[in-house]
Amino acid sequence: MERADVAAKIREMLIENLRIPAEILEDDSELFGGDIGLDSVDSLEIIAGIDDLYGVNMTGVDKTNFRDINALTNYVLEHAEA
Amino acid sequence: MNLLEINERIRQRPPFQMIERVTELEPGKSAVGIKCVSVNEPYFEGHMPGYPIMPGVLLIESAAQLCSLVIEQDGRDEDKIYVLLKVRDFKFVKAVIPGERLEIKVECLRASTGLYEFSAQILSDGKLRAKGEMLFTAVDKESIYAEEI
Repeated sequence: MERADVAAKIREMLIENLRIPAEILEDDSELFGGDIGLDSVDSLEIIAGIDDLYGVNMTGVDKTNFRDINALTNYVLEHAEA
Repeated sequence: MNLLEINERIRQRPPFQMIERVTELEPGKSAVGIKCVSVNEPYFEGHMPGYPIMPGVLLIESAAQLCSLVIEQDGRDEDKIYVLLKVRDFKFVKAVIPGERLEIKVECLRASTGLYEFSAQILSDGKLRAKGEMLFTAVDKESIYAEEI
């Protein structure tokens, strides 16, 4: 799995499912902080989206893994079955 | 499924029972339900005096109650409760008034990692009254009343 492809797919999922404007979403934009301002409901949608895309279950995973697209990508790359 | 059978599966009761009959039910996938709107409904007293219109939030609630029947296989999970997380793109195409027989159709679009996504359509005489999407999840009952720290 190519890192750039994973990051791009996660970005696409966030834009489509959570309606985050594409122009403000960078790979290092803080998802739950001031940059994007997501909340706990959004985190459940991210968990479902990652599961749909890669079969990786992020339920109960430390919140640092949800910090930005880079962190989500790292988690997927470490836990997805090749 | 009649009202008595519905009562075995969902916990809502009058005046907050928004599904009165279920004509189709495919567990985990879809359902069609009926709600007859009577002028005797208590909310019409205030919404609106002299000009009764069914509140849009109650149309959403009717679809949500039907979704809960689709999600819960037997409605008897004592530790969990299914809660509405998010309402997306609901449109109220035409006002619902007393005398209408609503046909509510819901379909599960996605069920993954504890998240259930549904589309809903509410019709009267075959004509669209409202439509939209809803997200649900299961939570522990205990967590609902847990103190926030």
